[in-house]
Amino acid sequence: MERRKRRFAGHLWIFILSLIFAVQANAQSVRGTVVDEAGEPLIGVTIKVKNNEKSGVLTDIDGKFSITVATPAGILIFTYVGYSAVEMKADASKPMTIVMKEDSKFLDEVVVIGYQDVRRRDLTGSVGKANIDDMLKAPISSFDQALAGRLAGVQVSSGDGTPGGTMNIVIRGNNSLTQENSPLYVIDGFPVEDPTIGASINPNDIESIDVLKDASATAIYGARGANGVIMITTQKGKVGAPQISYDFNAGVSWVSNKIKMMDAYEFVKLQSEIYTTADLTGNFGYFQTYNGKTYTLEDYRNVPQYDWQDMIFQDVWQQSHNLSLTGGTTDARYTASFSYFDQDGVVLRSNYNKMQGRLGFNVRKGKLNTNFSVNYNRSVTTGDSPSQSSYSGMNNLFYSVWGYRPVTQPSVELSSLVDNIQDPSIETLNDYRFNPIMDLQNSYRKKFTSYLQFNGFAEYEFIKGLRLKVSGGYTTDNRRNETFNNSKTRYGYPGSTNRVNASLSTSEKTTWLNENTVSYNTVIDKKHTLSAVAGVTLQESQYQYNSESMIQIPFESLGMAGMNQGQFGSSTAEKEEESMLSYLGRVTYNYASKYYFTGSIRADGSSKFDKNNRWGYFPSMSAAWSLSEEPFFENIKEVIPSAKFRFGWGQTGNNRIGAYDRYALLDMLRASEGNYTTSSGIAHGVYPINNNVNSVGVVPRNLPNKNLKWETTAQTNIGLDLMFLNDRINITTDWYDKVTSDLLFFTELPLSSGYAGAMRNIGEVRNQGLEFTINTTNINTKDFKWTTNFNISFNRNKVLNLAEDVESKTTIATFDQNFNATPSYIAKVGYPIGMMYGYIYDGTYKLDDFEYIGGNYILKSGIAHYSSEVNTQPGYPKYRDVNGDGVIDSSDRTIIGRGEPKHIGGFTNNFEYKGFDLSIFFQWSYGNDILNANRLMFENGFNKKKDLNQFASYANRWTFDNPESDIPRVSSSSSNLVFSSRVIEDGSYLRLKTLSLGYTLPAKTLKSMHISRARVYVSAQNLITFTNYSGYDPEVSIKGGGLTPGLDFSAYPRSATFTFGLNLNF
Amino acid sequence: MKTIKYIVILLLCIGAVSCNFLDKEPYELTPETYFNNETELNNFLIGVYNPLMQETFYGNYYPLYIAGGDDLTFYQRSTPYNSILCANANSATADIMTYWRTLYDGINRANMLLENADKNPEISQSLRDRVKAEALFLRSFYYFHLIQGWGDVPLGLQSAQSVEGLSIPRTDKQVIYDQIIEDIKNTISYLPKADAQTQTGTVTQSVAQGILARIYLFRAGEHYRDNKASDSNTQKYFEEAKYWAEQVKASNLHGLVSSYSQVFTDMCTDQYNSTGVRESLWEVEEAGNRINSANYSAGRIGNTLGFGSTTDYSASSTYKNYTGMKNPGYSYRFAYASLKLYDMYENQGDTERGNWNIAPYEYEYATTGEKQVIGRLYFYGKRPEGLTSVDGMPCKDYTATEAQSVNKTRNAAKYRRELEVVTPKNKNYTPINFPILRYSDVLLMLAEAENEVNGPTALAYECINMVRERAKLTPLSGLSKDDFREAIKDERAMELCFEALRRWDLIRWGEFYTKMNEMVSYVTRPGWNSGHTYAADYYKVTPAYVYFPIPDWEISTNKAVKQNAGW
Repeated sequence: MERRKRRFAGHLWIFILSLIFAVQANAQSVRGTVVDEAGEPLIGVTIKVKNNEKSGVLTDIDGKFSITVATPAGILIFTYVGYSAVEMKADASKPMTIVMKEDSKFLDEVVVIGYQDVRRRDLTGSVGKANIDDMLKAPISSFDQALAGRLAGVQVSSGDGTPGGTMNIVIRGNNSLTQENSPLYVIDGFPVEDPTIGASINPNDIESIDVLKDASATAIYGARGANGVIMITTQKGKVGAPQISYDFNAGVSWVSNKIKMMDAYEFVKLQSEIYTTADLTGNFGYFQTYNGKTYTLEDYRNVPQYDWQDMIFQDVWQQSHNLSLTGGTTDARYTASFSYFDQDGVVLRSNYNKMQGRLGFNVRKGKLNTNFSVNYNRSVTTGDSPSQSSYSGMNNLFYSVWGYRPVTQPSVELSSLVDNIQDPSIETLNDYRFNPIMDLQNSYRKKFTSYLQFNGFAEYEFIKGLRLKVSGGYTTDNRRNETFNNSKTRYGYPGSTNRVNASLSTSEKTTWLNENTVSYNTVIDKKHTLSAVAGVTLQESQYQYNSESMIQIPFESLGMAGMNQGQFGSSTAEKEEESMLSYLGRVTYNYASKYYFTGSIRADGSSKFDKNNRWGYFPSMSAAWSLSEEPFFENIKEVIPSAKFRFGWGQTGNNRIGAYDRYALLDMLRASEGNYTTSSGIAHGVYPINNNVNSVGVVPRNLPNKNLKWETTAQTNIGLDLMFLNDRINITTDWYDKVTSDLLFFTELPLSSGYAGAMRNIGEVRNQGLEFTINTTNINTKDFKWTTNFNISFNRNKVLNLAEDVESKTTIATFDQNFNATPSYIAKVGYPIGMMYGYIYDGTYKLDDFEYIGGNYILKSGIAHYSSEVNTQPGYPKYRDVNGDGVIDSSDRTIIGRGEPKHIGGFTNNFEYKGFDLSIFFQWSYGNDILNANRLMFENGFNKKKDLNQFASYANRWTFDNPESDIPRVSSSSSNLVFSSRVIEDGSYLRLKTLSLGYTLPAKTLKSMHISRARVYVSAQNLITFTNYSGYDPEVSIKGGGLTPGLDFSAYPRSATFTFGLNLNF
Repeated sequence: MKTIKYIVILLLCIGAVSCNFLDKEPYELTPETYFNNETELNNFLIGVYNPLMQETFYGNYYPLYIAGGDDLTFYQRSTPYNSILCANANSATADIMTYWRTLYDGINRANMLLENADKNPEISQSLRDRVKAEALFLRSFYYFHLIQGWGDVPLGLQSAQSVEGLSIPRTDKQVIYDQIIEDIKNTISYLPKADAQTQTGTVTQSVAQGILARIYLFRAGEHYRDNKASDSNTQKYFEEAKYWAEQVKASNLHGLVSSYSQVFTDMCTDQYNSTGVRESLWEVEEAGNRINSANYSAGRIGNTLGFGSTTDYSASSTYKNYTGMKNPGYSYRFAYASLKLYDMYENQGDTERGNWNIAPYEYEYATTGEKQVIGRLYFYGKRPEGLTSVDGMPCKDYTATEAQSVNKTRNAAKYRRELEVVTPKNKNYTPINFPILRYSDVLLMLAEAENEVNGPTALAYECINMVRERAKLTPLSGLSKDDFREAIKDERAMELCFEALRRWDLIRWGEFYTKMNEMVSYVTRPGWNSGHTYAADYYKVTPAYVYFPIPDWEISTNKAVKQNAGW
């Protein structure tokens, strides 16, 4: 059954103007077929003659009908549950074709649940349906960017504000600790694991998005269903005259928030605490004597100076175009679309550009129904993520932007900071500051992604209700990354090891899928509805990755084209294959739309696991009870026309690990690959015996683990759907309990084993939660309509055990080498995963804590100090001696923050008044913390680094003149290089995410221009954010993942966008 | 119904055909498919040697930031580096973690090779024996470094096989000592003799004997850092140290190069004992420049620890391909010699070693253009008589009143980039080898052990005086046992400074904490550059510094391990 919900609100009524009164003459027979918009025959449609409604007929299994009407012909009325009634003049001269459209009543929405579509009223699982119309009001390039806050239980966030960045979608909390928690995407039946591809579909091509949340719904996707499933259905051709639509929007983006840095005066004041007096007044000091003038601090007030943020942020344009056309007959339908999106980033020289084309055909011949579609997508991302370098955070953009000094010594031209690639005052070995403007303007970074997907199916109905569907798909995912560092960039400047260098990497992933299903539907005695589906699916992927880099390229002006002229740098080649074979089955039964039962099972076999653990079995069952159909409900049916209770249980799996993770593998020592910053890294270099630089060393890379198997999630769901006041208020509420066991957990290993990490099945995590959604139509008059959607979800995540009697596991969130050896996150039994870990900050040591003896401050006895700090002084950071043993050492670290929000949600209000429509959408997250690692470097003097600017807040640091301050003084003590509650901040926020105002021009004025509909609108994104967070934006997590949420270091700032646009339909 | 039958058959077929559909073997090397021939064994052995050259070990961090934290050295920057060297380490200090990791990587690789070397019996027995002996020796050497750094450590004599059960408690270091001493003794007969190979990057019988002496000497001093009295074993360990050092001497394969500086010149110029005298027993091999070759076999000796220009010519098309004075190679010069070391040489009149280990001159740079080197400016009294030019450039003197000559805290110049022969010179990476074991060290160990066992005998004097005579110093005689011991200490400092040995010597002599803290006031003495007084903070170690902190990573993953006291 191909029933599709319509996208646009307008109803296409067919009116027959001639009303014929009863002048009865001869009777005649009228024949015809009733289909839905997809051309699917509708079975059991009631056909009556207007003004003679006592008699009527029903359409048969092929949607055909035959009715006898009086001559001259009267009006026929077609009615069908869930569809808008159609009136049409009877025409006996030829067989009639009637297209019925689904109406938009909440309970009659079609929900796509995998291998089957059902009406919401028949649903037994927990499935959220996104409102595409609302989402399209935001100026977005992919649907996931507008999904946040739209659905209860679906947490959508982006790591930072990078244009074209992929969103992290987490459904009902994190199951997996180290592996992907992103849901499975199923696009027109084709499963896609990579969220980049899953989200790449043109939002304007999407017919519907259904999010399968509980196991009874997702178990049919078995081993890949544990993180939830996002079912995306694309638009199919529509029966009728060709329709063309064109959407355009353009707008401007700007950075929504800047961080205040120290000005020249405060900066120099800080330097005077870092430099020795001799250096300060010497030839290169800030207080030097230059041109006969001896400079003092006061001379730096209001001098010309730089704010580097102002120089790298820009207000930028974006534009998007969408063109689509559709049409066809009941036998053949077509759809085609093209879209183009171009967005500059607010950071200099960053851009995201996307082009997409799509074609779809549907041909029906007799009992055979076929569909074919092809989708091509190409995107180009320009610029680097500013938070990507994890070996050294100092290589990241904002370290330089914030750290570059605002002012120079009198003898140094201020403009030399901008003109030179490096500030000569920087100690380049331990400090990687680099002229951020010059680097951005000269670094060439492009990522090309193209994605081609062919999809098709053929379905044949053998006997009534029994269908065989054979579908197949083939996708290729090609990526190319180009990097060119010329002589004015951080990695290519003349002092760099590699000089002018370039690298090129390409990857191709091809996947084919074949699915064969048999389904059977029947209704027995008009009360027992039974349907069953069974099938087998096969999928195989090949992945190949190659990269090469060239160094010391002589002619940099040629760019990538001159790459071959350099010296060989390094190359890599990787190849992977994986396959999956699955069997699936589902039976659903309902009795009189009152009692529903569903049971499903899927067996998955995956090449990622050893023979003994290869197969996983994922059962589910669910039931629903429509209370409102019971006799005892009769009395309140006026108020509550519908009430349904749902229960479901099921098991699902997660297999998101590398294709060969179970094998022991060897690695070759050579070239530049490998470093110790990742858990699986090996150090580079090879031992050159007898100065032989061409030696090759071979070493083990990882431990074998034949026991690797699926991570299994068992989930129970209880839900209640209530409708009040004739569809005016719809409430859906769900409670769930998910336990994920045998976690696929990339754990750090004791280094004494010779290995740093391994993929294991250990531990158990529980997610319990409550979701609540309410949709209301507050006012619905002819001219004014006001609807509201409100949703809120609470998820409580808890580690149940970590195996081997381990109480806790800490994680190092790598972002800079100064902090890459110290854990900052902990997973502890009884607590949520992703808790922040460190010392409790008790402010600074105050003068009272010391005895002043012989010109020295000696800490009073009984006051604990940081153990590896020899000489604690006033103003040094003071941490709490949690275990009370008199010293502060690593055993005093404890939980200092939580990454998981207490609740998240969204609140949408839509208003329509005559031609105007207004949409206001708020989205929030409450109760999560952020580890603001920026402040470790920019609010503590960072180890007395010279000439490193700091956040303006550091002006209030501890000094003898400001002895009550709780911001640590300038010092180089190792106690500054630890994580503490000082840098943990509340990450709660409420955001006015989308605000859009549109006006639909009156149809009359458009008719002469052959335009059927025209709407102009303005829309704003991320306009206001209410938060206490001190960084750029509270929606931040540069590491993502369940274990290390909410880490902020040099994240790309979020932009606010204002657009205007136009929708035209012809 | 017929159709249904067909469908069922169709579905079953798909299932049946695809039995092997789910078997996907990796496109990568695995241990199961390796260890088949000589080349594969040798390449795996290179992997066991590899930790030595890595930056995390001798390639950079170890001799500078980790073992470099002694009383002869200081970090020449006012902004400290988080390290042992700057006395601001903690259990999260990255270099300590990577050093620990590097050592255990080497141990696991050695274990794996030992377990698989005999997989193919067709490979000649002698090759397999030699490969196994080298692997076993290296495993023991890595364990010795672990003991020196951390004391009791987890001991694994088999390669890790499974992700389970990796939480191994710390084994008493005495047990590990027994193990590694026994293992090294067993390797000796399978190792090549020192004259059987020209290069010094791999181990020989002499190396094994010399390292045994080093291990026994350190073991003899272990009681100091545990605040225990010496016991009957102490004497035995000195005897053993003497025995093994004497074996090296008795081999008659080794001697001292007549010029001290030539030993290090060889290391900088990619030569092995160029005079034919095998003074250098074992060096860490570094090679290339990370420019001509993709193989990253170059290290940072000379660049971080060592002497070079403060102007970088590696980007200059004119100068980058020069060697010698025209392009001395860039050095950060992090390691400076303390005034204490300077005074030792001055008091003994030791110019042979003093003027090599502590820079006697600075480069004179042009003031315009690419600021190329135009000559040498010698510190007061340091210019060798009659030396007026090098590489065609003039050698001049600073005048006596100039601060450069008054300030005597100068660059540690044992490793000089000026001598590098590989061009173009990289700014940061050098082919300079690092000495692990030299014959003068063996002689001094022998003298020290002999003195402890038998007092200052003729043998003891013979050994120490060989070293002194090469340094053109007067021979010692007529010392008491205690005076002889003190003389050995100073001699080791002057002979072996900046070779990652001093710190361990201080610890085994039970003097580390006191000697380090004495340095705090040393920085105010005349001659200590007033711009380097920040170094006082780098000597303020706590008593806990005789051991390193167990890295946080290990503590949090290995539940059986407890942290060292004071960290």
